[in-house]
Amino acid sequence: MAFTRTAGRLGLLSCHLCNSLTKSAPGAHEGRCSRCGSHLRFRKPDSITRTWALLIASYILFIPANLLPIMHTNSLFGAQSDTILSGVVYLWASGSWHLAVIVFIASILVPSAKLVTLTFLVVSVQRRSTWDPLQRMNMYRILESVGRWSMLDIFVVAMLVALVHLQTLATIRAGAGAVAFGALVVVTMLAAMAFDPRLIWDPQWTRHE
Amino acid sequence: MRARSGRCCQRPRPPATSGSRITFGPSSKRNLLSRVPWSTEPDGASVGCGGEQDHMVTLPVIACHECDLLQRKIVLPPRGRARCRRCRAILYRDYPPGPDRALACAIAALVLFLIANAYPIVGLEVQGNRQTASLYDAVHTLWVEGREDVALLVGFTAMFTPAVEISLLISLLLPLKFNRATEGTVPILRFLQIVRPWSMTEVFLLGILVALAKLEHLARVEAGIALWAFGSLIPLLIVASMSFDPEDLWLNVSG
Ligand SMILES: [Zn+2]
Repeated sequence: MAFTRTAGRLGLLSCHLCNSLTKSAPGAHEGRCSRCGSHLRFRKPDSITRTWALLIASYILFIPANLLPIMHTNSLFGAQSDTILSGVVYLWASGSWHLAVIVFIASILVPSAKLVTLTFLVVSVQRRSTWDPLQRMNMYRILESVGRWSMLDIFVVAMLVALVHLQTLATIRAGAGAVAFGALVVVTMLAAMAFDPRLIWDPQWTRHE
Repeated sequence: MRARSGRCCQRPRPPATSGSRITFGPSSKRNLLSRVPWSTEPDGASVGCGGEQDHMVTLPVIACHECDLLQRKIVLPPRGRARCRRCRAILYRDYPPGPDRALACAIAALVLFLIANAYPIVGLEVQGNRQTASLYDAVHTLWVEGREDVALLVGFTAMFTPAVEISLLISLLLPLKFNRATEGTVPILRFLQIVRPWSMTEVFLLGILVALAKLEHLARVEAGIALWAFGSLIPLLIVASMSFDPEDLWLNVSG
């Protein structure tokens, strides 16, 4: 079947940098691109193990990121600490529901959906599932393109801190939750990068054999 | 492989040059392809729709970088895109000729980036007390207040990586414009690929807007020059990185 002819199967290493194909030495698992000299491997090295490790780290970080306050406000009306969720609730209660929706999607929905989806993808790849690869591929594409938007809350806090700083009215300081949340975004992005989407398709051609 | 409105499935026509050597002569500039000697494969004689091949026929073949499927390259209609027929990933596009447009956008982006960093993003007025904040102020305040880690993260994703991305793009396109061969292309491209996912100017812009909206009922806020600079920087950077043909770069690699 011409449909399942992949570079890996024919012993060709495809270069992620210049897109050219290099024939690997027989039995070799890696090689060097004949055009740009990049170090090539058939699949990202230890993709599943590394994705798992980063995923578990993300699950752990998820807890402090959501429980610790990301922002402390000191004003004439007293001190207040906000977690991500209480920030969304405050926005909703104060009538800016459109902002509440944006922040909710970027800071709560996206990171949790990303963790669940990536876990599902890794498990499906580990079990060599052949269930709708295109669907799973699209999941991966969405989670990869959407992940960066979780950084939104960090930038909001950074701007608020800079603007409402040493003012007579109020001071805003970043809390420990901001560190955990920033780390969560970075680690989940690394997890998505460690995952090799070609693994989704690999069982396809072995089954067809 | 499918082009948007191009010829879809043709018989593979062997190119004029044959042999197992991988060639990128300047004569075939638009169709620069890496050539794979198919005949060395035991069952590599028929790719796609098959055909009668000579003993040492070389075919322009590309592997999808998202699903690894091998596909033959075809000539695209103007502004067309070739998608992987299995996973629908965009394999390559038809680019406007030459690096001019990309270079112009990258230089404009550089100017806007300098403006965006030099001027305040927003101003805030509370009880006659006026405060402005630039991107640097945001990073600096976080740092001073003992949140060095958050300061580093913001500085890295909103300031450092966009700066690196723009300057790498320019240093990639300038030699291309003047047809200078450089050895820098490969390391620059490699670095650009690493840096790009961490450059978050568009997320930062949304962050500014949310922060502004949050402060709106507390104080009078006004947008600064840098806000507009950030806003126009984003589309320019996208156009700059999408409107040059990466294949052109390989014509220029020396050695
Ligand atoms: Zn594909």
